[in-house]
Amino acid sequence: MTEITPVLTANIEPGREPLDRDGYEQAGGYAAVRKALGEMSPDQLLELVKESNLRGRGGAGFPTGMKWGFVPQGPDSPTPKYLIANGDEMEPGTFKDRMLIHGDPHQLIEGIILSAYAVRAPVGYIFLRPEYQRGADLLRHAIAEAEAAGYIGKNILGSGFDFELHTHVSAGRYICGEETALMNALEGRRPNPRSRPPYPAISGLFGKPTIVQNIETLSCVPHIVNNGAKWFRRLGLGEDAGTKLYCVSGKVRRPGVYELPIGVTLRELVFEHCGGMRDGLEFKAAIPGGAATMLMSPEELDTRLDFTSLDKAKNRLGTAGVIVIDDRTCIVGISLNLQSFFARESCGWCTPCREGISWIVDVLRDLEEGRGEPGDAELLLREMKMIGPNAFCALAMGAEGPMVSALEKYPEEFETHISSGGCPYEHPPALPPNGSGEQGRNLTPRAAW
Amino acid sequence: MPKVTIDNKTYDVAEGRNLLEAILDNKLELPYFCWHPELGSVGSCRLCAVKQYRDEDDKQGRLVTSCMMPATDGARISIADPEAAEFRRSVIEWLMINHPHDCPVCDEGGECHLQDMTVMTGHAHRRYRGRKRTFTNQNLGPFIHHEMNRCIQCYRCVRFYREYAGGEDLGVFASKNHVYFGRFEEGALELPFAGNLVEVCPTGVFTDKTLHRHFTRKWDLQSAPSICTHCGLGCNTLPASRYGTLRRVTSRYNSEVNGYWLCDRGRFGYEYVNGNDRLLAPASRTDDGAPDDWETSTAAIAGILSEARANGTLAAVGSPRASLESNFVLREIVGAERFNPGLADEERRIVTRFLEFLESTSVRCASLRDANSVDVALVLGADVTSEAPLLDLAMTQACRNAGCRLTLTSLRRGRLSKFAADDLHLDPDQAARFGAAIVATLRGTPEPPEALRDSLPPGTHDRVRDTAAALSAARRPLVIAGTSARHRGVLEAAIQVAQALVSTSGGSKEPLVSLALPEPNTLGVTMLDAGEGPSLENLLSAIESGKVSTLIVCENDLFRRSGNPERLANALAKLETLIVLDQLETSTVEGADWTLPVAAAAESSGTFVSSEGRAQRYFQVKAAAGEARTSWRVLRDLLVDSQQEGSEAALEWTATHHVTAALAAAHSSLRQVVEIAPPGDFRLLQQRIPRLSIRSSGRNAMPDMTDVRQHVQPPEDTDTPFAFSMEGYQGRGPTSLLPRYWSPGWNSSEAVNRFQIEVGGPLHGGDPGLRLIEPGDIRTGSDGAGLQTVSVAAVPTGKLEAVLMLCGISEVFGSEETSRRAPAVAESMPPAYMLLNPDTAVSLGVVEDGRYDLRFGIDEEMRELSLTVRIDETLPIHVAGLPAGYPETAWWQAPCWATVEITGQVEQREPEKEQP
Repeated sequence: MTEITPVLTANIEPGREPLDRDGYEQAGGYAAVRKALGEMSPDQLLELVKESNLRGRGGAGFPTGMKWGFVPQGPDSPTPKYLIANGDEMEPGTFKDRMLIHGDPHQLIEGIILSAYAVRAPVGYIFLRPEYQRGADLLRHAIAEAEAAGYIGKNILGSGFDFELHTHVSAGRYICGEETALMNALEGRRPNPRSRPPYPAISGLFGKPTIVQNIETLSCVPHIVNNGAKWFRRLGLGEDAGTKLYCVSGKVRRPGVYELPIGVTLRELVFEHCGGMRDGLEFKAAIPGGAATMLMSPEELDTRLDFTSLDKAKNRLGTAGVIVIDDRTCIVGISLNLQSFFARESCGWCTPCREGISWIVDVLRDLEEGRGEPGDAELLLREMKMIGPNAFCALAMGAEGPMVSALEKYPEEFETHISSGGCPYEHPPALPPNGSGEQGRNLTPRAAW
Repeated sequence: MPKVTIDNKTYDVAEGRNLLEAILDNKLELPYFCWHPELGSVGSCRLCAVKQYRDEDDKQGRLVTSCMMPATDGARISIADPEAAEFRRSVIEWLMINHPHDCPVCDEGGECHLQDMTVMTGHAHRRYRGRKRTFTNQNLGPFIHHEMNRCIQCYRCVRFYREYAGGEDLGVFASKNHVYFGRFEEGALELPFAGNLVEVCPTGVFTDKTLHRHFTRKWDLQSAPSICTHCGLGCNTLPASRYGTLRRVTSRYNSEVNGYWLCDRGRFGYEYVNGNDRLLAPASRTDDGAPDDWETSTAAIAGILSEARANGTLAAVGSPRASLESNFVLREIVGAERFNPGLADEERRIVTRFLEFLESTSVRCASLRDANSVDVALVLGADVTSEAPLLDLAMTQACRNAGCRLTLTSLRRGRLSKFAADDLHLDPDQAARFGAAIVATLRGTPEPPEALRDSLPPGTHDRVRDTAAALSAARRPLVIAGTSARHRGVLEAAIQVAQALVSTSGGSKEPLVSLALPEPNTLGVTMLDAGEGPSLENLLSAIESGKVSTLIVCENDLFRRSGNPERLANALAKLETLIVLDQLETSTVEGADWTLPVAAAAESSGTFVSSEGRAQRYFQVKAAAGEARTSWRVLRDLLVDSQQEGSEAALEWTATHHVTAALAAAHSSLRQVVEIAPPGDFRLLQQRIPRLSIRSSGRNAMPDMTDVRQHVQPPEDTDTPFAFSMEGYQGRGPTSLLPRYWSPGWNSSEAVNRFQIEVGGPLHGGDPGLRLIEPGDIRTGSDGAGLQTVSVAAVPTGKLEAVLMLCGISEVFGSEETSRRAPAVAESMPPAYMLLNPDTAVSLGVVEDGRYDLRFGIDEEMRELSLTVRIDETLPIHVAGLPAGYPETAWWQAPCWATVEITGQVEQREPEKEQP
């Protein structure tokens, strides 16, 4: 089993309140801000992050440093620039940002200050889903602490860099996690995605250059500054760099959040760190990165869970919210569940997503309730392939992933639903009790947060 | 010019077009919903997908949404690609999942973009097995019918309503496949342009409620090109009728004038034509037992006329809402020196001055399209929204798109205020002084004379400076004045500002000017009159002194013009003979000895000159109500029968274009009006142009089984090249003769894109109408010496706090004469009121919505009436606003000081409490 010294979660202790500023500083916190603002120019910091090969943890895996490099700089460039921390964590099966927000808010704030410095953004927003109200309270308190210590405000640590940071709790829609929809929401508009180009780094919030980063991505930055790009690159097991918070849900013995080197295999994650499946259950499938990625079959257990390997496997790491599906769970049922989510969360802007996905839901419900007709599987496949790539934003493509992979990898389940006139699985499935071993470092919050 | 390859053929495309526009510009067919030339591309419906290829070697290609992709040079796309066609079919299939398929009972049916696009994509088979979602509809007021279940979520409605027009009370609610377009709660839509939703909506969600009340299928409508009569802008319209009633009005595209739009007054004001108060037959007050038919009436009146002419006691009043032709013939009957153009005297002075200015300056009179793109605008003493509604929409675009810096000076906060850099609430006199102060600043005398400065509220001087600076720096400034303020100083100031901009910029700047006029032919009749006729005041004196004893009034209610109803009524009563030609019962008609019913604009043909100076022809759409005849024909008969000297020529006037030619020959300023449209005997391949569409159900589908003839026999038609038939020339005639926009496969108003050179641009063959006044080469102009400030008469003595300046408040619905007789507009009209600043209300001891007996004292005269008090905190404290154009306020015309006394409170019933 791969062992790791925790990086992002070093200060997180389940059941304990997060470190306050003093505690965080004693644990080495804000050293990166002192170092970067004291010794490095924004461009040097940007170069460092580029070298570290940090890739965005929100799902797309876009190289962070490269994105920052798109922000127009110089005396004639538009001002102000904005930095947005995307904490609208609504991807099914994903609960890692929650851990970082509630467990170590100062680490996030330090990452935000550093990133804002790198892109010369004087204003930052932390955009949170409404369920993270407690997180918003913790962050506001931590921001006040950071301001009091001069890490946020005018002329931070004498560097000449000014930065203000605001927390915004959204009204709560999945689509708000899409960066352009998020910016519309932040501007007080309907959270419909915007068309690209222009990309947010050129014209984003209020028409100004804007960088939107995931909470986990931002939390990585202080450690890169403290330990260097090489160190960060060596953390990964495969081609990608750093550690990764994997969220595991489903009928494994120990579901939860695991910080592991990026690039562990699915097998290691499920069968070693999570202790394997519950007694009597077999591994049937897993979705590696939240609802919007493709099902992985048992043959794919040895795939590394990192951006590069999953891209090669025509899949996506997504948020690394691994949903494990056991042999007593119906794939059609899972699909219905997921597609209902996507249909419900469609913003209603474009036709394929708004109308198409709810039709998919309708057909899946027919299959589950015994109204399926021959040809329904083909209909689902054809429609989903038509909807996914041709919608306005990536939400429909997210819906396409699990649906098409389910149809292609588990066709027999759909056939059975049609031929046997309904769902052959037990509803709800009789499940064995959860295991209770406490090996490994499972960060699932059980207490205060 | 970029070249784009579409299905292996190369096409030229204008710069800056997207792929969808490139396709439509070249008259290829590609379905679309959410894109609109004025509303832009948003990529929500996905219907306009095509295959795009990287280069010649790319055989794979990828689906792109054509409205979102620029048409760059060398772009290669395929519309016919099977995958693209399949995807477009799918989009319709998805939209049809929830569409109710209620075409048989849908008002949009037959003129529905969704139907057209469904046919165009070939979607025909339904695979969805589930239930359809349903919505609850809202009552959106008297104009718009709401049926949300038909919605296909193209977002055009809210994009027009909120983004384009700046409305706030229509929005998008909910999400997923439950997106709802409506108001936060039921109620009438507030935007005075809401009617455009009917045309913007590609299906039957927003439909015309007035049409719904007397519904007919769109393909059975009989239509001809017309001009809106409800303000002076001259918006192009397509009124449509069936079975002798007018059913609806839609906008007729003209890129120079109204573009795609109409205001609600123009769209829904038409119903007066069908009203119960129409005059239907000639009538005389004399009880001589003779039948009141046209023949006897004409003979009798002709006799009276020749006698009166011989005695020198004949005079006539024309009208700004009658055609040039009618006014011309009337003027021929009585002679120039006895013809009053029918404007209130102050308004006539304003318009005459405006015309003089236009004819002697290099300042251009702005078209609506010009106004769309100005960078600085100054509005002096006008409420643009109600005086010239579509100019408001144009200013909205200037502010939204061209970053126009707007200075408003009007009585109170209005719709445009939210775009204004400076929004001053001034009475007309102050507005004129504000303009004069700007002139002084522009001409380099920064300190305005004390008289100017002292009469303006404190702080206004900064606004003068800022506005003057913005105007000086502007590329294309626009100065707008209004006539409803009835204050010459306002126009004078506007003219001087424009002139100062020309002279101080050494002629390098091209300022624009616009005067909002209330009626469709105000400018035309003023050009015809050329200042030669007597003033109303002189005419009244002549009647009172017996010098005039016979008066012909053509399509005019003098009580709207005089400002002194008692005096006018007495004068009219003193006449031996009053002959009135009109469409509707009016106060003037009530006192007439002879009433002659005449056709409304939609029932006749003629020429109007819009406030832009654009001469435009309108054509008869339907037979006139009852026995009504076109007014110029009635007058021609009177002219001939009364044996007016030189009237032999009039014998030859058998069609409108004969009269048009005669008036063009007689008036050099109007010589071009013959050129604006082909004459009535114009034929294409020896055929007339059908007023009915080839899709008309025809005679076989008439509802009555016993009588298959048209209920109303087609009248003889020498005036137009149109036929009251579906038969005739089926090709495209000149743009001034387009009775509808239709093209095979394009049955909705979207068909106009088949008629434009480039979609959203001018029409093939040029936009109809002709500007009669173009700016000259006079680059210098006066040096401001002629600046006249005209001020309101001095404050009368009396109890000071009760002395207020009475000012007219122009209402979109209610101030215009004919539209207020249309039921839907009448429903939207506020009841007569007195508008006060809250502080003024307190000092008068009145409260909002209370109804009071009031006594107004102007000079020595007293007026008593009961009005409801309304409060507006933006109204100047010294002003009492009264609704303009209301019969209740006909006793008063121009701003003036008056004592205002509260003599009692009218008991009001408690409003019934709503049941919980």
